[in-house]
Amino acid sequence: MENQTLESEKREKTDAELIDLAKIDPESFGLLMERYQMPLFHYIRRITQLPKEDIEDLLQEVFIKIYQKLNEYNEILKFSSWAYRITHNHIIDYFRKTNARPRANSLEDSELAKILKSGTDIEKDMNTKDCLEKIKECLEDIPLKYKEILVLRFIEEKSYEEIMDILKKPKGTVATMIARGREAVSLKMREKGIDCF
Amino acid sequence: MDKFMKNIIEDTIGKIKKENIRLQPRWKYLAKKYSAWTSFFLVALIGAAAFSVAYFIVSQLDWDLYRVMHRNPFFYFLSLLPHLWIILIVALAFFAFFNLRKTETGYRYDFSKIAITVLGILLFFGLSMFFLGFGGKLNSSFGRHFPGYEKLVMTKESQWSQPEKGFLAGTVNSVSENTIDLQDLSGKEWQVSFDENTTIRPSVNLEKGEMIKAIGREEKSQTFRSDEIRPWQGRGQTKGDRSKENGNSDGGRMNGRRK
Repeated sequence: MENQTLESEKREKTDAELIDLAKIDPESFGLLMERYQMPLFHYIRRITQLPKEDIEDLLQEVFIKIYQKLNEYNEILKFSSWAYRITHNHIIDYFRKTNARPRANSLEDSELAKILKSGTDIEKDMNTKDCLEKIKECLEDIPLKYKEILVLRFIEEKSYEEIMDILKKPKGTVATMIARGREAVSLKMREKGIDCF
Repeated sequence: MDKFMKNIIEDTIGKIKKENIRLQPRWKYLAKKYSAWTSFFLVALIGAAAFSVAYFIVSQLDWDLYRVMHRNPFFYFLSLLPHLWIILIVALAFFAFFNLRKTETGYRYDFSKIAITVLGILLFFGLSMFFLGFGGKLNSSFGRHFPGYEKLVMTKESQWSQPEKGFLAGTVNSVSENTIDLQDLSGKEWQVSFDENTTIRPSVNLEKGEMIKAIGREEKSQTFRSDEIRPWQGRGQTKGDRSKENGNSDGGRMNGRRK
């Protein structure tokens, strides 16, 4: 009973308070992991589309990195932005080390729809499964940096400021990259002659 | 998914404990953070020092000699600019810019803010160093310690050590009716002749030990025919003289004091 109360008290704590606790006791880090496990899991999935086991391994490595770097956390950032930044860097390192590219079809249909509906020039009513598959191919064909920024903005629904902190790029660059990412998807669609609406 | 996730949390905590994974010490983070700022300020200060030297050189040169040399003013100005220092200043400004970007929150500032900050620091500290005399001292030090320096950078000394082009400067040893015995900046003795057609600037003090600059032509070995004589510092014009010169080509002739 007493343990439950303690757990419940911990759950009400802010990220910054949990960080202070985790610095003393790794068990408290569990609560932070609990808070961010799903968002980070899906973020890794959306960018990499690795098998579940590989995402699990990556996520564990990310959590250990976050734990090791807790002393580096600066409260001028949101903890979530900082955690996403570490995840982003880890994914980049992973692709660099394994010399791999993100797999195709890493987005679910509903997620893809969010990106497509974000741009007036590519906003269309998607009717068929075949059409969605073709558009997914286009999205997978664009450079990772554009795909990632579209995921952060339209699926993770991060603000420009948050994306700026995650990618460590100025706000203007973030805005430019989002616009270029959308253009790149449209261009791929035109190149592949996708006109199934 | 929940069960799967719970396993990740338990596995991660288990791994942290089992492998005794520790937090990276805070001092490492602070050292990295402050070294980025220190690196930025060091580069900016070196850039400011380079600016103070360049400003010193520019302020010492005579910029009106294109008239005597019959050269296009624009190309003449370009040829006088301290290119070496300008390249160094630009390189250091870029380096400082990227150093500032590399600081913990440097990515938050846009290009123009960082550029204005870097230029502001270069200008403020550069001008401060110049007015404190640091630019001149550094320039002299480079001249003394780097033999090819004056060939690379047009300093006041190198500008006035070109008798073959008509520019000679040095210290007056003696003055007779129409001749000045002059020791140039490299210690060579010259006979500098002048007459009633020679413009002697009003603030020129023609007496032993004074430094002067002469514009004219080299006639034969160590003999120089002067068309104009200026004091070592500046152009030797008084306000009145400048206006006279603008309105009357004879203004200022033989105005110097002779002893």
